[in-house]
Amino acid sequence: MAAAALLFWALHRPIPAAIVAVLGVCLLVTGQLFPRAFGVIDAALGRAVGWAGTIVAWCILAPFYLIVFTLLRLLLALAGKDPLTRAPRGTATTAWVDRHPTPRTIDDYRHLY
Amino acid sequence: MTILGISAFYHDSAAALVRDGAIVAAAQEERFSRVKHDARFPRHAIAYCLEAGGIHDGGLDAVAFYDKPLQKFSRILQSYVCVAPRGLRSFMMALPLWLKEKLWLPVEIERGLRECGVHSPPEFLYPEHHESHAASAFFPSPFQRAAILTIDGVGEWATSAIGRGKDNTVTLLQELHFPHSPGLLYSAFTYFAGFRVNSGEYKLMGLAPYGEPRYVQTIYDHLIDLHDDGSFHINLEYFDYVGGLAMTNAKFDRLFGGPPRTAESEITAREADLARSVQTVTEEIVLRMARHAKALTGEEYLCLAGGVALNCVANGRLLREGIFKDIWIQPAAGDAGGALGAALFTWHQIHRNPRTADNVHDAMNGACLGPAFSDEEIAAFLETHGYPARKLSDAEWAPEIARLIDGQSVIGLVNGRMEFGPRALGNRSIIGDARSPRMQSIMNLKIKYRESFRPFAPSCLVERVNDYFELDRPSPYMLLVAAVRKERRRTADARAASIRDQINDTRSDVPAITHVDFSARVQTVDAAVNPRFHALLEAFEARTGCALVINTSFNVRGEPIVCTPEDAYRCFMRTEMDWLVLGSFLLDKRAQPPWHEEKRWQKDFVLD
Repeated sequence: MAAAALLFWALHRPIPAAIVAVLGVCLLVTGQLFPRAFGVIDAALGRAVGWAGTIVAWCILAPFYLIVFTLLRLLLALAGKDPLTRAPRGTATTAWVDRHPTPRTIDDYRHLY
Repeated sequence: MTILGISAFYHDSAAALVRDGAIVAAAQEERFSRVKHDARFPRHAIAYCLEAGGIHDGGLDAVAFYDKPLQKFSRILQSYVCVAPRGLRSFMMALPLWLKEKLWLPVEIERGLRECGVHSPPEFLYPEHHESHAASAFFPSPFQRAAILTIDGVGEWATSAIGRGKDNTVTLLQELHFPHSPGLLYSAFTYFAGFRVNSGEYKLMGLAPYGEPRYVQTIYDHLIDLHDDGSFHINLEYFDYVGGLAMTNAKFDRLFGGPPRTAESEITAREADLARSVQTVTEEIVLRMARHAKALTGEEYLCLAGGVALNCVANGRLLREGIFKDIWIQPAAGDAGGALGAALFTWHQIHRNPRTADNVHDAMNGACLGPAFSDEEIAAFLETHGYPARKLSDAEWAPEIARLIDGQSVIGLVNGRMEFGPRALGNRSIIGDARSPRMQSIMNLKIKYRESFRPFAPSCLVERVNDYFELDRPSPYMLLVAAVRKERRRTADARAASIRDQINDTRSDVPAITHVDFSARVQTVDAAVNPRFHALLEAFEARTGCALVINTSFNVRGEPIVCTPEDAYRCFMRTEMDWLVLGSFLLDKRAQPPWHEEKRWQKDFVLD
């Protein structure tokens, strides 16, 4: 109903507002009179929203990943850095990494990082 | 001071409550939600812990989460940077979860606490993943000082850590970093053998004795570069877990002669040989790490935690090698135990409170830290549903159950507080007669509905353990594998036969708990820790001369271990168990009303 009100008063679109309002009332009535049927509709709407979210995520995140992450990988390669230390170390005799014994305060543990 | 520890969002979410250094309660979320390895925020487990501690709004002083989420997020992003543009699908699955939930952890925790009635948020603290594991290993241990070894899949960056515990502090000295991970190496083979990652690793361990270590050299030659100190570099050319949706790739398939085994298909000699090989390599890694930890710290005792510390075969070998005078393993060594570790870390290390240890007793209360149900509550449950039962007096409880076991009945046992960790230790167990040659097959196929190759563990009177096993000390948490004594063995070498023949072989005078290599995953039962279960074993020994019984977790395949009397009754009626013990009440299957379910209950459980 809020969407219908927005369409009617803010955007001055009476017909779409009426359609949204009718749909809203129908859903409301269905929910009150036939809760099981409403459950089915609600689940379907949930799935549709989920799919829409997935599509939007792919539209935004996939190009971001392909462009930015690939570029960062190239920069790392040019700089000769590998955070995963994948290359065999040849003569290395250990893979243990020393921890720096800096005393930590309670503030260090308040951070999520 | 009351501290709530939480682990969540990966697998085995859990909560633990520590008050003034004492462990009040701890439980995994899966036991309440009935979703195996439930990774969601542990609302039910938190609610239980707060109730067990009598905590109301304002009664909680701190909440400790078991890792640093932003460090973990940074590692994940850097991993994707290293493989981009590959890894897109994995990235698209992972990132929305982080954006939606994991990055807003304090908000999630506050919301969860509000649902449990805690409206004034206490202090939030975030120890590192391996600090939490190390704390869970050392602080409840009996030792005043010890070396600490934590080995798992991955935390933030660390996959393993070596440290030292002394009095009320743990200090991590060295770490092995992602992607070089003993846990992920083992999980890769778990996946390749057709079992679920983070769930089926113990099956691979159980399968190993059926195989030969014919791939050990292949693993060393192609997959890992193992150093003398137990650290190693993994060759990612054969693995897909950085940025991929699988653990292994086509190159791994070619190395081991074909694609991964399809889940639920027949297990062949190849899978058994792979299991044996990676088990051998894992044991070598653990032994070398332990020797290195000994050299680095100079300590005489060792504490272990992390998922790999649940590998009881490796633990048994570590003990036999005698590198340390003694070892202690956190019974909830996986991520669930991180909740307890985070809480104890906050109490001892962050708030610098002292700790006492006597080198004998641990602080885990036998891992019995979960909910208990009184006889009054059980009586009310039975009466409400009209389930017929007989109440046993204290004097007849143990002898009557011992009589039923001797009569070859299979019994579901719910007794006292639920265990914390993956093992049932007599409080949520299915028990049977270990002397029966047919009991392993019966319990696997008719009760647990699981693969027939899987072995069962014994619960043995602690004072009689050396009569049955080559083990000279208690193993209260079923985390040590020891050999059945030679004089009890029946066959010279069972490994010559096929897997099916080996299962049906009578290998000792307690065949149902004797694995094909004559080993057993031993639990010792101490009267001081679990007096009722101890009394039951004593009664069984008095009746039969046998001081042990089969003890397997009270669940069916894919189901979390039962928690409530209702869970137990449901599982009892779904399977071919003969009797159910709920506290002091004994239920006969034949006397129960017919059990009907509208849907196929097997669909509720994802097979591991």
